[in-house]
Amino acid sequence: MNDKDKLAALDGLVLADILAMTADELRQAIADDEVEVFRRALEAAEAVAGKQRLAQAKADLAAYRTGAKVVPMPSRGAGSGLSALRRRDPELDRKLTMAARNGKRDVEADAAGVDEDLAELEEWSKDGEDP
Amino acid sequence: MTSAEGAEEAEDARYAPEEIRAAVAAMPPDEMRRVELIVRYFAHRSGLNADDLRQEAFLRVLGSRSCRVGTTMVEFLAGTIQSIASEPLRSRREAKKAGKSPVTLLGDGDPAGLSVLPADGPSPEEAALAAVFHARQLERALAAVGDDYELQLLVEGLFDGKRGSELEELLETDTKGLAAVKKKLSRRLQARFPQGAPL
Repeated sequence: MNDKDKLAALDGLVLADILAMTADELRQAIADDEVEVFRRALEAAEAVAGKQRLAQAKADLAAYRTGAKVVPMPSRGAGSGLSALRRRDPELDRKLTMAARNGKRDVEADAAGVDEDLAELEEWSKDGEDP
Repeated sequence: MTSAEGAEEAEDARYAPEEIRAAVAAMPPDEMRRVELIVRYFAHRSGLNADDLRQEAFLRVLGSRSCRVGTTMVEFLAGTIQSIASEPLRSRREAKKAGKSPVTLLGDGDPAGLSVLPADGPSPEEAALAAVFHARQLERALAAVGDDYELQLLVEGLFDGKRGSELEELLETDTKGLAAVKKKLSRRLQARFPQGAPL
């Protein structure tokens, strides 16, 4: 057993003793006013720990904002892909209008998806790839 | 999930930070007394006075350290105090030389930059220093034994890895007698540095 382990053996003995102390022994060893000092130190530490958590949260937020990659969503306005397609193709526009009127809400719900697909098609076209 | 995985997960379950804070704040006075005694016992070895060691332990418990479910707050704090006391001494000295405090100063407005101790393991040089440190600490502790033959026997048995009945046999006593000798040794060791003492 090396010196570190020997110290650990003595520490273990002392800890076991402290954990097994009776209330009377504890009160004899540590007076009420010393408990009060302990309690105040705990409250002060909690205040500091609270500030640390707040500072950490602020730092995390700042790091998140700095590192966040903002991907702009395609606009759903008049200039969006689907709207432009509808303007160019009256037949498609009529079918979509009829579908919406007949309660086929999926068409509207999928509009964003259609826009995304169109944008992707456009990217492929730019890259010269064949979709 | 298999039952073994479930048991493993349960074993690894940790208290949420809010639960730790609530449990520490709700410690009864006698539990605080136990922690205070542990602080005082380890203070001399940590190179900190009792106030600083207590404060550092609180901050770690309330901040970064995680606690396995089922551990009492006294045990949690005891483990934290031991951990601080066993950190490389050299790191603390270097931190002091660099003008940093090894502990967080209350209200000093440095809420984020606490850790002055390196995350890496000790270098060979640090390990050598630690060996010298442990030898010196052991020498100091054994001075508490003095020429008390019973205590000398107990220490010898402990260092030989003996436990329970083996120690009783060595000391030629029964369970109650062994408990009394252990308590005597513990109180001697605690009385050696009642308020902690800087190294």
